[in-house]
Amino acid sequence: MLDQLFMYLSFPFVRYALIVGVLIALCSSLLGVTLVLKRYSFIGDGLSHVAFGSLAIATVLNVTNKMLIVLPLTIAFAILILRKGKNAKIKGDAAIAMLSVGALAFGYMIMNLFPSSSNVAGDVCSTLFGSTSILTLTQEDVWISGILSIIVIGIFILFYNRIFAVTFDEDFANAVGTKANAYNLLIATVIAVIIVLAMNLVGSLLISALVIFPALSAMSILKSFRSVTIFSAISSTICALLGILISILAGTPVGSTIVTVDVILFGICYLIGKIRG
Amino acid sequence: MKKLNILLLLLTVTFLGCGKSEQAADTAVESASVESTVTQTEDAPQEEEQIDEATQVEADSSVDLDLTALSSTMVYSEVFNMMMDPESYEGKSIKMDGNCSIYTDEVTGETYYACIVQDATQCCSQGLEFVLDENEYSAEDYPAEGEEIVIKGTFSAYTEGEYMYITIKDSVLE
Repeated sequence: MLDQLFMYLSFPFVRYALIVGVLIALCSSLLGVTLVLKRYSFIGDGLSHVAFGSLAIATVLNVTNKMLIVLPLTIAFAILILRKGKNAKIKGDAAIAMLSVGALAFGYMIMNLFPSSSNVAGDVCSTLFGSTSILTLTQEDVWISGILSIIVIGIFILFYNRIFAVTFDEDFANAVGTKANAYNLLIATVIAVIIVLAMNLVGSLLISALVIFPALSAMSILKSFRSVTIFSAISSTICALLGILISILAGTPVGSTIVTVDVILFGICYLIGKIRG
Repeated sequence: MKKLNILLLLLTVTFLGCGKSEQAADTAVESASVESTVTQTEDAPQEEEQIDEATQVEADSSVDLDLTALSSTMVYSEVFNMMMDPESYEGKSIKMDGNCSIYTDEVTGETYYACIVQDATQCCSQGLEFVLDENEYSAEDYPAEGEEIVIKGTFSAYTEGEYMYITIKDSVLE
């Protein structure tokens, strides 16, 4: 099996997949802790469906670089959902649900009305479940994903304290001079970027797993925000790495294999948490 | 300062891991139309395929690229990359297995044969057209629709009309 693995690693697209997969898993796990604590666990799902709808528009318009449409639209909707925070007229879960199903239905409808390939169902399935998307990246995709991931990680590291304050108590953050609205806007933008990148890794339907499971696994056994974040980041990258390697060795879909590994880790952490009490 | 050091470390690791830079080229490729083949037209970079034949496990050493030794996920991805970057595979000997798919062009009357592979979710398909070696096979020797086949031949691109197609020429059935 090791010989087989080394042989697979000689293929450039496998190395690209591992690099981008690890970076995306790292980014999503960092912001995942914030989202879970703010009760926005399903934002990944909602925004990924918006990204799917945007992708459908870009496909129909025959745009060469679909990121030019997908990224701005997803960021706009992320700001719409998150920026208002607790003062929104339509609260978090309702807003997410509305956008999620609306965008998914809209996207699938226009892809069927204006098909751009001979296998629309296959394209949709591949986008939704990310079966091999991560293994079909061009070098340009790798550079774009790498640069965006580095920016996201950099923002999280530089604004860690403020993100921490806004996550736990927006009113207190405002009272001590932190511009909570501005940081909500920043978080919304960063999440949108992560979601668009993560679609390549696990597909639209499974993105929430990348966001939720590492954070929940960490919270099962650790208590402080810093330790939860660090554990979440490390476990997410290991799970993504394992998931990609298992999928190429066993011939399973990449997205669901990564999520399965995440679920198994969550089960283990949950048990450990229960035993420790 | 500590945060800056962490950032610098991450940047270094990322750019070291991305490998050497390569030139990008626009390539439009359309595969021969067959019933269940996904048509892909996108920009693709030029890149050199590195295949270490010495480390292939149970691979056929008589070919440059033995897709039968890869998992289904790898096969689908590799065929996708072959369609996106055909220049890197031109002239290479390929061995692959899959299902035979037959397409007849109603306008020209030409019949095309392809070897189709599916991804792990079985919802998407990729395929490569193949043409059997004329010195060894006749028209009656081509496989039937849906038949499982193993073919070995030379990867090649050709132009028909205004489009470029790729095929495995001089193929033999195993």
